[in-house]
Amino acid sequence: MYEQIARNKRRTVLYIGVFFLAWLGIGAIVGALYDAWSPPAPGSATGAAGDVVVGLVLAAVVAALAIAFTLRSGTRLVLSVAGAQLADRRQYPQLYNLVEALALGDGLPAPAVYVVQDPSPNAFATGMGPDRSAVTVTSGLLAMMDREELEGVLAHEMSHIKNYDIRLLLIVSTLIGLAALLASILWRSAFFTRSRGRNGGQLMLVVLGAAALLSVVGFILGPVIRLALSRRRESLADASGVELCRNPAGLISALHKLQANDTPPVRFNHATAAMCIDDPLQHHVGAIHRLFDTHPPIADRISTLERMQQGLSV
Amino acid sequence: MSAVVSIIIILLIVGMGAGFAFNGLVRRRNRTKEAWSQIDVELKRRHDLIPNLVQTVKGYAAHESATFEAVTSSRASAISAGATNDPAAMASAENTLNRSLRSLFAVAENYPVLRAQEGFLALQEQLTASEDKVEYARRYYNTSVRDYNTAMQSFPRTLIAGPLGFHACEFFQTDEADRATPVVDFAAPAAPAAK
Repeated sequence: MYEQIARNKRRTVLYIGVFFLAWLGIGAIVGALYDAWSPPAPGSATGAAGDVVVGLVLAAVVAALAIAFTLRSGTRLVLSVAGAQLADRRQYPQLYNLVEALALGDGLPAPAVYVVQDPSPNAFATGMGPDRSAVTVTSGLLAMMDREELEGVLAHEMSHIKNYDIRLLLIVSTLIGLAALLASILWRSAFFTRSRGRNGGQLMLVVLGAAALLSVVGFILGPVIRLALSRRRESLADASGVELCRNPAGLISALHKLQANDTPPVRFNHATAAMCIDDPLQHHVGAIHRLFDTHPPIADRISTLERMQQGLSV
Repeated sequence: MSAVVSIIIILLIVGMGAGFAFNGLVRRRNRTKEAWSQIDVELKRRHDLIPNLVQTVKGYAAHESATFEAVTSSRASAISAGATNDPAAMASAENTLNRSLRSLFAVAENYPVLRAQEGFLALQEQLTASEDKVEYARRYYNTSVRDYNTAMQSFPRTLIAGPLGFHACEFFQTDEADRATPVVDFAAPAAPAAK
């Protein structure tokens, strides 16, 4: 398990590095495109290399700002997007008790506990690390699960915290979101650049090129990487959650209930879906769709847990 | 000359190795101590809850005095065992306390009015939760102890552990059969206590 955590930490650094390089590459390409299509201003002798450097620097600054922002307030942003409210200890004594007990079992400080008023049952964990983390459940989950099932679900979420999955997902999601956001800004601005002057057409080509690159990162490549990541992590969190609470039955029964559930979520969107215990949006069938799933199919998760259960009881 | 240099280098490497080994042992020992104090905190919290529970049940079932006495006395011996800081003594006292609490809850099952009372339900949740917390804290402590003992007894740390005053820690054991949820069956006589 410690090995797994160390690997996660390394992978976080790796993914951030790859995204950063991709960013720099886009910046350089945009600079080169700009240079190719617009003649250098008279008097400036910078030429192609200069434009590439400007592109690189701009991209680096934007990416650095985005990462700094995530590190500072990503957790708060995720919680407020999901509409999560800090849970009242007197109103939810059982929830607090379970979270505190599980944290004791991991030797970690107890995370903050949040509740989303949403009839659809779900739960997610977020934060930058075990010291600054939050567990969120929906009111639908609390209404549907008994103590044992809730313990299974919360143990799964605690494992995400212990394994640093929350930080990796948070940073990767932010970077993808940023690429997607910039891509849509550029698509839009392409319309407004059209009519301007003699170089307008060339400038538009540059903008469209950048937008296309960003779209590939933001809408196709990024999500596929993120989803592959989160699927692996879900299975791992199931296993280490069971290792924590020593009772696969709770999580198995909770997953059965989640599988049967079809109450549509009110507050969750694609950005937060990857963090939840069950994909709140859809249960897909088929290989292509599954490429875009945040979670392994619930039936597979249940059968894995059932194998663990037999292993434990022998 | 070169012999002196190589001796110095070897001594430096050995010294650094010893330093790392020492730091690793200190870190593990501190984690174990912290885990132990966590168990202590949770046990005390649980002992504090019990008089309240006894009072509440007494209000409805005053004549079950044998059960109350068993709980009160096993609580007292658990508290005095806690003062010794001896894991084995504490574990056995806590096991006795657990059994007496179970019979108290079994008694409470016979009084539907009591079970429906909100204060009783809250107490029951608190007690379940604190039992949970003791259990999780115990597991974490035992994991830390295993980690620390293994580190201490494996070569080459074992060479420095003894002289520098590191001692193996004791596990906090509860009997496993006792952890299973008791089945309260009113028709049959009470099942003999495990162990």
